[in-house]
Amino acid sequence: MRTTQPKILIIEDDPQIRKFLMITLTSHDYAAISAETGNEGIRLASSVKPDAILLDLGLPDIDGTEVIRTIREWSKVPLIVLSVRTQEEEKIKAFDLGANDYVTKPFGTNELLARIRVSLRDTILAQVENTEIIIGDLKIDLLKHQVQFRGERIKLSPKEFNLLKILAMNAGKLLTHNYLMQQVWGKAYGDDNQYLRIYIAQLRQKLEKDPARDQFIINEPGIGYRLEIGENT
Amino acid sequence: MGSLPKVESQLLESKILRGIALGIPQKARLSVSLQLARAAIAVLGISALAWAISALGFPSPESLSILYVLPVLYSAIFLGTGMALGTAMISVLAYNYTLLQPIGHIGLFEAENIAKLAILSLVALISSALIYKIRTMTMEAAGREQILSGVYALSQDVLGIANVTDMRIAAETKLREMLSADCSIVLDGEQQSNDEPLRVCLEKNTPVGRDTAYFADRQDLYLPLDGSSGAIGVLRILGNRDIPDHASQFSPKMLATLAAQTASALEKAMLAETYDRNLREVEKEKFRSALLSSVTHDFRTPLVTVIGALSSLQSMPTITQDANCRDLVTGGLEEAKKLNRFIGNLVEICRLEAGFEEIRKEPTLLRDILAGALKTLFPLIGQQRFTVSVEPDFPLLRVNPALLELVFQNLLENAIKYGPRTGEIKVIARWDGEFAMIDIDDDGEGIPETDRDAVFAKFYRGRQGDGRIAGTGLGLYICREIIKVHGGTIAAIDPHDGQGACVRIVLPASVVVPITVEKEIEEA
Repeated sequence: MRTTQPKILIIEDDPQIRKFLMITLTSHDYAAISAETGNEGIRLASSVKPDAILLDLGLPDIDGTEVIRTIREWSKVPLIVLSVRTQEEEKIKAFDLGANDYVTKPFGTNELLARIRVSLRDTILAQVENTEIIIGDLKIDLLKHQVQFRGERIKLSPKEFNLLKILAMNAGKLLTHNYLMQQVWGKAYGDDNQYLRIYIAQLRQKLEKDPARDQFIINEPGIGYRLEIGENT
Repeated sequence: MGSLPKVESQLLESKILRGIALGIPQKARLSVSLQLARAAIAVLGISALAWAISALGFPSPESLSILYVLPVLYSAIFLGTGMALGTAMISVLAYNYTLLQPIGHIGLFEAENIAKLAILSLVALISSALIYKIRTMTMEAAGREQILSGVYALSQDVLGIANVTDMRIAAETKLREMLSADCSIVLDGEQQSNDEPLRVCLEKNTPVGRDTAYFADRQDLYLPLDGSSGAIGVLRILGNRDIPDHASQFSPKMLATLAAQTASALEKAMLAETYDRNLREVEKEKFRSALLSSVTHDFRTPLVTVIGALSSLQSMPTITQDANCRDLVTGGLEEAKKLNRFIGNLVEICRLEAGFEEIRKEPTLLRDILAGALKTLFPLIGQQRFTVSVEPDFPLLRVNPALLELVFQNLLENAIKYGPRTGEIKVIARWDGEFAMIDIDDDGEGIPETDRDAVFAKFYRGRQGDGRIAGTGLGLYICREIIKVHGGTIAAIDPHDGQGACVRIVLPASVVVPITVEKEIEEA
């Protein structure tokens, strides 16, 4: 199995964080490589060809977003941004430049590993030709347009169904507002995210019966939504 | 400072001139009889001299008439034009009487005498005209010197003063001394509403009061302190018609110059003060952002490792198998996360108080914000029941989602912390077309009515159910600050069900984005 170990490149300047990431990833059967600076990271990204990159936005030499821009010129490798909450603007910019996901520092290892898993799954994208999507307690019948949650039939409008379907097909993955709008409503709606927010509210109403414990639809402010079922529940 | 020697040389020059000029008017003020006596004495003296010379056998006594030019000149210089003409007359008489044959005879109407009288009168007129001219010039020079020395003294006194208060005191003291009148400086914005002349002076930027175009009947004089952009204040010179002061002797031009000098000095001090303040503000901002980046980076970076490492441990079989180890790790992780939330509050306080960053806002769903906050608080949630009731037409809110999430995170954390373990926590959101109201209601001890304002103050710390002081005293403060930057208010109100605490957030219509999306028909 050694040869199939996914390679993860860590670009992070703090030695302690780097060390903790190296240990965590290695102990979860990843091959981890690390870079201290943005330039070193870019070099390693081209020479080592990692399967995914963890990128800290606050680097000592060049701006994290610059690293994304450079790497995106020649690679589609999944990029997961590690950012602190105050770097909101940079985070949004990172997504515009092609980052795939992010984890807010500080984060738990479960969260990080889930992001890595999802982003790696992306690269071997859904060859699923099933007519049914099952994630945890959620069952979506694509033919009959029916949704079951915890064994109960949930009535959804066609748009609600479409939205849930897109979220479920990409379960765990952060989908941007634009992507969701285009997938469910088409290009004509452009930047008007209001539809999306209203339908998300309706889905929450129907799926998250207990607001404190049912947290499936995760809002990532300024960026988009992700569906997370079976992680915290 | 390059002009200083010039000023000094002018001072010296004018002092000499003043010496001559000031001597004149003093003597000119002698009484008429005394003046006459002096003229007479001068004429008598010359006559005696002339008689003596002619008695000694001077060949042509007629030519001695030239000596009478001297008393005429004396009178023209020291006694004035009238007296000079008078002296010319007496001189002709005296000449006739003492020198012309027959001696002791006065033949005034002889052609020769009339010619002499005419010439002496001409001498008297020309010399007094010249003297008058010299005198005026000297007076002007003296006036100029007075202005210059006043301005110079004022500028010396206010040199190097860089704050408005000291500058004002220095200028007032100096002006009082120079004008020997009570002077006060009133800066724009300090005037009392009932002082009408002062208001006019400020508004029209022109002298007002005694002997001016406005309020000429007043005894006080108001001079505008004209800055680079309009009057910055007023110099008020208190006057009293009965007691003459120096101020009335100063020409309007001189007073205007003094006012201009004062204005420019005051304005300089104001600019210096503003500059200082801005500099201090910049320093403060520097400190704030240094603190901010230190807090975000130096505090948070170790926490990333701590939380990351503990969460790694938490799922390791060696830990999960041992109940003690598991408790220790879980406890450590929870505390680390709590610390992270405190830091989160601190960071946002720094950012908000700095106030220079523009807050990014986007139309946001209240449910999204609540979900985010509850996700963060998930490890703290025990047996509590949560109910969220949002009116169907509750609008989207144009807010910063991360900041609003922090508000609900703090409010819900309080509700969890201060409420009973099995209580109910309700979030009720309503929109009445004018305000969006969101209430967070718990079943805890509640907040005593007297404390309802205080709880939102910085560093206010309430007591937990077990009497322990909990938290940093920043939670509700940051809530208030965040809601404030969104134009809303937050307050502790009477709880809906009469028990526990209830906090209400009110957001104005300006942050509301009405929902225009039409409803879809649901699938059967």
